[in-house]
Parts: sequence; structure tokens; C-alpha cells
Amino acid sequence: MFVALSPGHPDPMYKQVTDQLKDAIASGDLKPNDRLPSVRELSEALDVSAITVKRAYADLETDGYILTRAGLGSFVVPVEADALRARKLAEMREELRRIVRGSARFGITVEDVIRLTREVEGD
Amino acid sequence: MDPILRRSSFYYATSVVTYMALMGRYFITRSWPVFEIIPLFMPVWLASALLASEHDERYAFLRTLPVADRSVARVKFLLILTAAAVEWFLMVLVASLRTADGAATSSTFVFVTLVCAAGMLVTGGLQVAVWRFGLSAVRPAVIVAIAASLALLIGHTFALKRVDAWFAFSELPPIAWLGGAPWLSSAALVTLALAAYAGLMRVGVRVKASSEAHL
Amino acid sequence: MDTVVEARSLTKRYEDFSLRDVSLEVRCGSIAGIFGPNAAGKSTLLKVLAHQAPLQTGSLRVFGLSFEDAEQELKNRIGYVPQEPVYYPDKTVQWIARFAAPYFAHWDGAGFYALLDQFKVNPLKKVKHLSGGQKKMLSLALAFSHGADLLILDEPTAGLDVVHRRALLDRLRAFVAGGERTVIVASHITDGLDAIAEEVWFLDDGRAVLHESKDELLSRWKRIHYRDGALPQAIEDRLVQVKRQPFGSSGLTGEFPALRDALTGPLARGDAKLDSASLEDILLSIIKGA
Repeated sequence: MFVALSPGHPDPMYKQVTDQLKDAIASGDLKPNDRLPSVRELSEALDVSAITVKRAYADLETDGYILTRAGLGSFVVPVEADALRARKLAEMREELRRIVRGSARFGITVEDVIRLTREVEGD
Repeated sequence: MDPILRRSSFYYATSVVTYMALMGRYFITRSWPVFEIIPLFMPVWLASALLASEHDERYAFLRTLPVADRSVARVKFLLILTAAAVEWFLMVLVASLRTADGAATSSTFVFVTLVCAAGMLVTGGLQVAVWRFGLSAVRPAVIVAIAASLALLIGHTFALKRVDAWFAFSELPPIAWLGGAPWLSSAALVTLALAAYAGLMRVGVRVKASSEAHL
Repeated sequence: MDTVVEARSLTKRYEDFSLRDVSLEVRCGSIAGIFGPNAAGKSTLLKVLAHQAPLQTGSLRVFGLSFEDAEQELKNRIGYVPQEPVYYPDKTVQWIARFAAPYFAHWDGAGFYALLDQFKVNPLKKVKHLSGGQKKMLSLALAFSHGADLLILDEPTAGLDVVHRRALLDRLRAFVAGGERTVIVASHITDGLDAIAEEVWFLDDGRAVLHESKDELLSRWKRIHYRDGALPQAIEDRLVQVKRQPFGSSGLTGEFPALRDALTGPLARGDAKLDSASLEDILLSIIKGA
């Protein structure tokens, strides 16, 4: 598992933790039924307050990614791959919308973007 | 008037006025040994004026102003000179008025000139010491010296009146000898004192510029 | 006038501290920031530059002139704010201004009182009743109000609240905006002055250990977060201030342009993340070494 927080990032710290843990789950870094680090462990490792980590874990549970069992810890819920893919696609849609809109200003067509995408794929 | 000069001259002006009003009046009202005792108090008053002036001074502030440090040093030296000169002049004036009734003799002029010159040079030296070592380092010693001087002077005053064989500074042989030609001697002494003072001022200007203890 | 301050090999020895062989050049129109830990010599350096303390060896020219020859002219053109301003304690702020004004060739009384008003300093208050921050603001008001072309400020934001600090930073930016006036400021980085500094000097233990434009400094220094083992060993070895944690390590590098290519892979794979390095991070790295 790899989490890197940035104080200058526009998102608040707890959201950065939430988003990066969701990515870890989606990419298989954290597998279903894996035990997450304890709140204290993670807050010490990331150098953030326990409140921040608790909030992140609470959000993850609300969104259905993890389950917390009192006394035992928090565990990754087996989420359907489709649901994870759908979430990632939604994120990418936003980024692509920015790219397509932005490139239009410079006279770059969608075809150019698609060609570029294929080229990058080959790198 | 230049603000720095105006502020500092207050202490010296006050010192001269109070010295002459409190002690100098005895020149007119009393006889012997008034011309022996009163002048001897002059250096003490001048040194006290310096202490008071330096206590209230803030050289760190003056350094931030567009005034050459040399100028500040010279202003302080000129004030000491002026105070001493005024007091010397008034003493000489009164002494010449009282030679008629014998309270002052020709050696009085020499004596008064010597004491005022010494007071001026000592106070100038103290000014340089304050710049070099800082007021808090110099003040205790000066206060002790002033207290000791006052004690000695008061003792001297008593002794002059009550002890038959007690000596008077103003009648010591060298002074009496110089008193043979009082105007010449005084002129020579004044010239020497001013020359020495000018040298002291040059030293003082250099010391102030290179020292930070007084800031 | 291109170079406003030209200092070569400044040395000044105190009993327990020395400024050693510090050379400095400040261009007209820039804001030069001098940063460093406590007792690094920032105040001493500024005092020497503003002719508040004599220098022992070395040469100093401001506006092309030396203080020996043109002390009065230079002090007219320089506005100096000390770390601990000193004024006659029993006098009012107004009295202090009236005392100082005749010495300046271009005293701006209206501007001075306007600044006092903005800083909320009561001109009728005695200096001894002012707080440290208010004395600082008086000092700033004096420095800004006599037509100075060069401001030399020692921790000007110390004791200022957030509103006044921001107002000061804005005012300093406006001060140099025409390209004709210059600011030299010394402080701790956390005072916010690193935001407006264009040239950066780091002092440590009496020596200048770094001088660079801030833009260059921030473009070559980066913080790299990475998954353990994701970076080529050669690169990991060159990182400084490395912190290893169970869920990722991070380190600083001052050679980012050289490492950029080697980092593209890990960055693309999401095994590494790039972050900016703060001036404070950079100062600590340089002072502490690897």
C-alpha cells in the first residue's frame, strides 16, 4: 500500500487519504478481506491526526469499501470489479473533458487526441 | 536648533544653571575659602550632567537617522566644552570683581582655569568611556567616584576652616608661581586644555564609530 | 543603477559569534530574502549593510557609494528597521517623528501619519507604552516615510498580526514594483516573507551557504514520495532527508531536472508522486546535510 499526502493539495487531507485508499483497493494493492492498518498506525505513518484517519475510514465505510468490526479492525469489502471500474471511469471522464475542452482552444481536434492516446499506449 | 543638540543641551544647561545658582552664589556672598571650595565642585557637577544626559540618550535610534556619527560625537564634546567654558568664564568674572576686597587673588585665576580644564577633560574622557564600554559598565564607577569626591570635598571644606595647618590647593607653590602672571598663565593653560581636548575629541569620534557597546 | 548593494568578504567578529567572509550583491528592483536559523548572522549582516555596526574587514558599496564618504546621503536613501527598535521611552510617537523629521531630506509627514493610522498606532502614545509589534510598526512607518530607495528590514513581520503582516507584504511588493527601489529583508521563513522574496540567501553560522533566485531554487528542489523499491537505487541514493514509512517513503532532491527522465516511469505507474519542496525543507537540507 502506498499513500502520499500533500499539504498543498486542494483536497483536504482526509479526502486525500480516502481517495488514495480507494485507488489502492481498485488497483489490487489492497485485496478483499485485507486488514487495513489501525487508525493509530496509519496516522503515525502519514504524520496526520487520528481524527483525519478516522474520518477517512468513516467515509470509506459509508461508500461501501470497508467494514469496521469493533475490536478487530477495518477490512476491505469485496467490491465488484465493475463498481470500481465505473468509479475510475467517472474520474477519468472529468479529466478527459478538461483535455478535450482545453485542446479545442488550441485547434487540436478530438481525432488528434485519439491518435495521441494510441501513440502513448505504445510507449 | 538641531534636535540632538537641543535635547542634550538641556542636561548641561540645567547643570550649569543649578551649579551657579546653588553654589556659584557664594562667590558673591562669602569670602575665603569660597574660591578654593566652590570651583572644586565643578567637575562633579559636569560629570553628573554627563551621566544624566547619557542615561536618557538612545544612540541606536540616532544611528538610524541621516546624521554622521562624527557629528553626534562632536555635538556631545562641544556641549561639555561649552558648559565648562561658561562656568569658567563666570568664575573668572566674579573672581576679577572680588580681587578688590581680597577674596580672590591672582592665583585664584590660575586655580579656577586649572580646575575647569581638568573638569572638562575628565568629563570628556568619561564620555569616551561611555561610548567604548557602555553606560551600564561605566556608571557604577563614576557614581562611586562622585560620591568619594563629594565626601573628600566636604572634608576639605571642614579642614580648611578648622585645621590650622591644612593646605589649600589654590595656594600650592606651583599655582602661586603661575599666579605671578595670571593672565599669561591662564591663557597658556586654556590653550593647552583646548589642544588636549581637541585630541581627546578626535579619539572620541573614532571610538564611537567603532564601538557598539553604547548602542 | 543596476547593483544597489555590493558587499565583498564582510567579516565581523564578536565574542561568541562571527560573520565570516560574506559576499552579497543585490540588484535594483528586487526583493532579497536572507533566511537562516537563529544566530546565523542575519541581524549582524543587516546591521553592517545599514551602517548600524562597523565592519571589520571587507568592502561595502551602496548605490555605488561608501559609508565613509557619504554616510548622510546613504542614510537618507536607506530605510532601516532593526530587530528591536529603540526610541526615547518617555516620548510620544509624534515627538519621535518631530525629532527625526528635520534630519531627512524628503520627509513625508502625511504619509507617515497615514501609515500609523493604517497600523493602528496612536501617535500620542508614549514609546514605553507601545507593544513590541507597535514599535516595529513605528519603525516601519519611519522607514517608509522619508523617500528611501532601499529598505533594509530585520524581521519586519515579527509581532505583527495576520492582517498587518499581509498589508506589509503587499506594501513591499508595491514598493519595488517600478523597478527603481529595492528591499532586503531578513527573517525566519515561517514569517511569510519567503513568498515575496525573489533572491534567496541562506546564512548559517555566519556564512552564506546558498544564494539563488527563488524560482530556480524551487524548480530544482522537489519532494518525491515513492513506494519502497519503486525507484532505481541510483536515484534513491541521491535523495536527502529521506523518511521511511510503512506506506511509502519520501525524500528531497535538489537535482530534479537531472532526475526527471528516470522518474517518468514510476510516476506514470503511480508508484511515485511529486510534490513541491518548501523553502524551509530546502534550508533544513542544506544546513543538516543529507
